[in-house]
Amino acid sequence: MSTAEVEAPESSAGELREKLTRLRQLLNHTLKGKAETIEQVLVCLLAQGHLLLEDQPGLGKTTLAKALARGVGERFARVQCTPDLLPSDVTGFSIFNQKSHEFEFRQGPVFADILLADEINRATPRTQSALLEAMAERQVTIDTERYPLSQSFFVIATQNPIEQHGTYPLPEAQLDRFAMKLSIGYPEAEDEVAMLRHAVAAEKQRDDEIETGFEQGDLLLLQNLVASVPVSRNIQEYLVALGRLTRKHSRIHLGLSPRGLMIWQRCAQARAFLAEREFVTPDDLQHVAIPVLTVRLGIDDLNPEQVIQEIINEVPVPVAPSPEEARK
Amino acid sequence: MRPPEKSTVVLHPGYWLACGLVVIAHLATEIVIGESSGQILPIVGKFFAIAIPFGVFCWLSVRNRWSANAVTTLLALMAMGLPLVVEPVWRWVFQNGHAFEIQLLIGFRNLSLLSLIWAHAPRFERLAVVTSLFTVLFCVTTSQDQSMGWICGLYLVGGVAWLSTTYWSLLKTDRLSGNSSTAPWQMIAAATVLLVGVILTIALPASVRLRMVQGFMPSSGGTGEADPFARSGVGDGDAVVAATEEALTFAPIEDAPFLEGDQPSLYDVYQDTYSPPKPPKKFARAISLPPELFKQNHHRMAQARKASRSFSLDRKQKQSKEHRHLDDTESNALLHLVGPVPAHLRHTVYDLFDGSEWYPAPRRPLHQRALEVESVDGKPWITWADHPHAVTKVRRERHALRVLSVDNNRIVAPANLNGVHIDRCDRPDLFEWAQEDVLAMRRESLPPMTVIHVSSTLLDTRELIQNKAILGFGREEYRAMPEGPGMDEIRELAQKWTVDATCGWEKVAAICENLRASYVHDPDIRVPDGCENPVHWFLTESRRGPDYLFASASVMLCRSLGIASRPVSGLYAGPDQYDYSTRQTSVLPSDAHWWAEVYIGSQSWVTIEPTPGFDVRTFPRGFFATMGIWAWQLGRTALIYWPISLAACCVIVLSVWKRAAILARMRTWWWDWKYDRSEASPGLLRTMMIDTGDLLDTKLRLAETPRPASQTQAMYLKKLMSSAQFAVEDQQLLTRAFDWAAYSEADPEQLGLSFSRLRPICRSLLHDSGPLVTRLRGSVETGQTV
Repeated sequence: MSTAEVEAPESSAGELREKLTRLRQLLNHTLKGKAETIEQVLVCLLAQGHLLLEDQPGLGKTTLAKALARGVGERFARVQCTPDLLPSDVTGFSIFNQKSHEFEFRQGPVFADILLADEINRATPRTQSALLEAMAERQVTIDTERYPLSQSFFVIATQNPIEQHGTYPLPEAQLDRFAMKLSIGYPEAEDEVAMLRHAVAAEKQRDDEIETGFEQGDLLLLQNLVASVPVSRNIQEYLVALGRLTRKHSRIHLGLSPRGLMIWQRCAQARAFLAEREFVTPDDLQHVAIPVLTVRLGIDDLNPEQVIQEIINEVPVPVAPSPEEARK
Repeated sequence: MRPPEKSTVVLHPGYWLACGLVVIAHLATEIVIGESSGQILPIVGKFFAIAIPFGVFCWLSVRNRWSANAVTTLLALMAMGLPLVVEPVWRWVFQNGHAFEIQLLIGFRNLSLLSLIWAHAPRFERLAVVTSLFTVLFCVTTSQDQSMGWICGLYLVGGVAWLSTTYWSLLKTDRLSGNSSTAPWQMIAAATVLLVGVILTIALPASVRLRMVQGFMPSSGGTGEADPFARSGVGDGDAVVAATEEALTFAPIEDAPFLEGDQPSLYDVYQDTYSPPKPPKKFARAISLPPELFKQNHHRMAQARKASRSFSLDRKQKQSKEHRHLDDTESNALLHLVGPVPAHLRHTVYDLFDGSEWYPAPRRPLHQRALEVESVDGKPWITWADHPHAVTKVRRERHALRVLSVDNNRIVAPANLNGVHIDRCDRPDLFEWAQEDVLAMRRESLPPMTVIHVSSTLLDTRELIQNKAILGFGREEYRAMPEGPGMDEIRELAQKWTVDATCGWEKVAAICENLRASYVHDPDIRVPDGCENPVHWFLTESRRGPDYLFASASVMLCRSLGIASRPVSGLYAGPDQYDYSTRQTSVLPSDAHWWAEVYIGSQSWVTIEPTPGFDVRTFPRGFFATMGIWAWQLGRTALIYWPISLAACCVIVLSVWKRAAILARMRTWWWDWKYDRSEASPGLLRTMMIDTGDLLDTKLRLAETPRPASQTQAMYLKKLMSSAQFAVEDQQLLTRAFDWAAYSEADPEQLGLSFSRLRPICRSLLHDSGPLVTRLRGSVETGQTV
């Protein structure tokens, strides 16, 4: 981390921000009228978290993932999860090379920088866990051999909430490895019209002209910048208060884990960074609360977002530095 | 050391019990300190004046989790030592002080209160309890107040509760875990040694023991030290001198031997005070008694005049103001009086008046009541069977006279004497009636250095008005008016003054009031030569004079209305001379005084005081009656000045109703004053933003559109600020500054936040929050969620 900070001088920070702005433009062009969702996706990307998209088919999940991969200029891979998908199909496998008479390793899709795991709940638990281990550890172990993954490894998994037949729902412990759960939702009417117009080839040509200018390693630099956004003590106390409330809440059977707290803080840092602010405010935390919490809390309610909003409403935000800070 | 987490400061019941114990100790201390004054209000006032600030400190300490450090120790030492340092200054400034042991007590009380501030830490809680225990024990041994029993009991209950809550969990844990705790052998050994030492000390001879304790409390005597502020005890200051050579050098004590000396008699005192009468003139008196009375009493009057027992109003001019007792300020008191003051101690009562001379009332057979001994609480009281039955509500009062140097055998006592008690004196034949209602001892003079207890009855004169009592009975001698020139004018004056009075007592009160209000007391005025009617001269011409003229005038006025009354000479013990430290009043020769008494029937005489500057002891009222009088007077004043009261009421109601708004306005002014500068440090900028946010929150709450607690100020403002009031960039700057102040430690300059730019924005936000509030109201009414 510290080396990366040294490698990102002030001048390049400005350039990186410009690249980020262009990436945002690109994504907005690709997915019309979903600026809020795209902001959250960027938060997730910069926070080095993985994203779970839960939505109906055909709403642009794959499109978004592909555009993102193209925008950040990283390697992209896609796995369509089915019940017969094997762990080795995801991680890779060793094959005997007849010429060299040696086993050589064939990398699986996890070795890409951005991986789209479509309909992850259709894969068997064994495959799911192989993938989730890769997400958590950023490494795979095959035949006692350790293979590190890309440092900016980013998974976008999708699942279909409607069809339950023949699926293996992700257990809550696994869900905790995702940073966020988002739904794209249906676009507005005029956005749909615009989308249809873009579908015409001539228009599409022009869209592709947007170049973000991302180079190899830029994403990692950005992620390191995000990790260094300062968070004051009273914000952390506020965050802990929110977290503790989720553990006591009557309608939540699984509260927020310490890892969840870490991810939440990182997401808030990312949001502060995207808002070009040099510090984190409670607004940042509140802004990312719903996607961060819906993925990991066990909420016994048909409307989990309302429960989360209630929790947020219940905890007063700090309006002054905590006494410890003031003493300093 | 890392400060503990916020959630760990949980106040267990032991803390509250410790608070209670310390409060009890504090109360006990205040009672002991204020005991000598005998007034409850200062005790209660001081108790709260000290307890409330400490309570606030305790709350602050718990909230901010103050932890003890070296400064705490220093504070504790200061709190303990402070009374000793303050005492000399206090004595110098207020001429008042505390005995040494009381200073120590205050020091311990302070330590106990101070440790309570940090009592959320267990060791300070224990320190607070231990010091409070010491304080309470100290108080119980020092004080004679009856409330100490209650305090002791209350402390006992609280202490047991505290011990059980504090150590119960310890005991339980031991038993559950099965650990055998190691016995504190060292402590047990030390305690044993201490116990054995105490037992051995008790076994020592008394003389050795006393020498060991001697001087333990420096001001309590035994060391020869003298402290003017010493409390009751052996060491009453300078008064105590070892009686090695002469018993007279000892302070008045109950069983001192009866001694005789060559002190001046009270008659000498009168001559000194009022100067001797002029020699009788040869010419016949212009005015005289009615013939039938004169005939009867001619012999008595002649005798009295011969024995110079009569009192002439026509006296010589005072030669010099110098008093032969005045030089010796230490010993000039005739007697010390212990008991309620003001007290009128009567010495001689007079009945007949021949126009210029008063003749003492004789011993009449009717009043020669047989004396007997009655035991009250194991003490012999000289009393008599024939007590008057109560005409009004009465109150028994007791005075103790510490006779110093009165060469006189009359027992000076307040009106309506009930009994006399001298310690170990159970012989009624030692006493006799000197006059009607005046008791004397059958000896040359009162035994000096003796304490004489007298019991008297105080009458409630208010009942006389309520009952519309008619006065005008009694012996003819007490109603007789001499006849001669000027007497008719006195009668007319009495009629004039009492024209509104509906009953006898109201007439008496009106006469007194008139004399007190319109006449001047001047002890040096003398009746001019050749004056035929001194009372007439005083009432109509001079309108100023000594107290015997006031007394005579009031009696003449009363008698002219047929009310039986008499002048009385004696000693006046005023509240001015009350000494709080010794709780007694010194009666000096200069306290010789004349007043009057009115007969209300049933052998009861009521003291009246016509001389301005002297007061009659009023019948004590209960607490509620006193409160009622205050309330009535307040209400009366409020009614008289009704525009002011009305305005004050309006102001009070308005300020209570709008208290929050007033407070907010005052805080705004305070804000203006505090941040009235152009440049400031980042720290001050942060304080300013936080203060602004706080004040804005208050104002929004007042407008009934409070900021939701879960929204940051920046976010709420961003949603609310109308662009008409603030430029867009100002809004951005403001929200950014709010966020920075609360959540960032960065340098404000780098973020583009400058004090000089932000101050006017904040100021206008605070002063013109009207548009903001209007907008808020609008959005609330239309049901929008902002």
